[in-house]
Amino acid sequence: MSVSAWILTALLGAAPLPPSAETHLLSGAEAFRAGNYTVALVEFRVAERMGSAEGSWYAAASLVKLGRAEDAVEGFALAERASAAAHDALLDYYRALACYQARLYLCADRWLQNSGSRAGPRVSAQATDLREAIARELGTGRLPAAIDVFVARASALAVPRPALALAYAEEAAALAERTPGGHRALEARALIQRLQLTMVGGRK
Amino acid sequence: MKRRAALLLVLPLAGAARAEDLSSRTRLALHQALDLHATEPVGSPSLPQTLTPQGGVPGMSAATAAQATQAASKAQTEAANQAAQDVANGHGHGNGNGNGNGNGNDANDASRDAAGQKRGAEAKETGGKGLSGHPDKPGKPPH
Repeated sequence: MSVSAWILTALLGAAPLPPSAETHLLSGAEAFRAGNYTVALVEFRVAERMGSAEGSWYAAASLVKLGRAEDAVEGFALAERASAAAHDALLDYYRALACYQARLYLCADRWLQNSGSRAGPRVSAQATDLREAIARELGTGRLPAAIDVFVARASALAVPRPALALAYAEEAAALAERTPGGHRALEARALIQRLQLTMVGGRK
Repeated sequence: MKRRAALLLVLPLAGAARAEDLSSRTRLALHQALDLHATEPVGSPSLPQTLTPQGGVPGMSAATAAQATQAASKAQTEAANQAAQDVANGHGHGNGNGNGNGNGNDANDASRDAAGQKRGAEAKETGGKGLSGHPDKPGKPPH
């Protein structure tokens, strides 16, 4: 092979590659950083469609910043089903925020605890504050009415959005454990079982 | 001959190193972006006591709130999906800063459309007064 052929080969090797899923993740990160969450959402969705497991998690985080709480809760649940390993403490914090916005406070508390100190000192301090506020609210004795709301919401969403419905049913069941007599606990647990079967069936 | 063999060895290694660098760079960029905006919600937690449409705005009727939220969310999702499809198909898209090679179907259009629809519904409900709201803030959980 001649020298010019080698140079040509080297140049072709250095030519820019077509955009990969990672390129879109990077673009999404830049948009998110700049506060352009709608643009970030598009980039992360593109990465997701190109096979990136991280894309689903970061798309859900973008939904949190867009104030789309239910979509975010559902997005995180689906991302976890697709690839449970592709997340970190910071994403757990965003998942907690999604639950918090949807008023699923036990769900939020669980993810705040999961996030722990691994998300850095600032986020960790925020998580502590939020957990204290949640504990105060859960001690107010307003649980039965909230359980009613979540059971109704889970039932309404069972067919069109089973992953989101499951989040509501799990919250209802967890809250029921904190009420005397387990307010609607059986109903919530039955809903969970049914939704889990739906989810497994849907995945097959 | 030796130089050719060395080149054959070095080129794939260089490519692999480049891919590895991009990965760590992307990971860092993602982490920094999320960390920068990992804010605390403004409102205190408040358990729902009545079944109201999620994401509704106080002051709006339940039906209008549901309609506005649904329209905004649907428009955003549809535009995001369309843009994602275009990019996946290699049609390109704008980058939201006005310097992309877009086909006019970028995400800013989506947010503008969504915001416009929501404002329209709000104005209809409040007689043109409109309501404030910032989707960017986690803020008080939707009622």
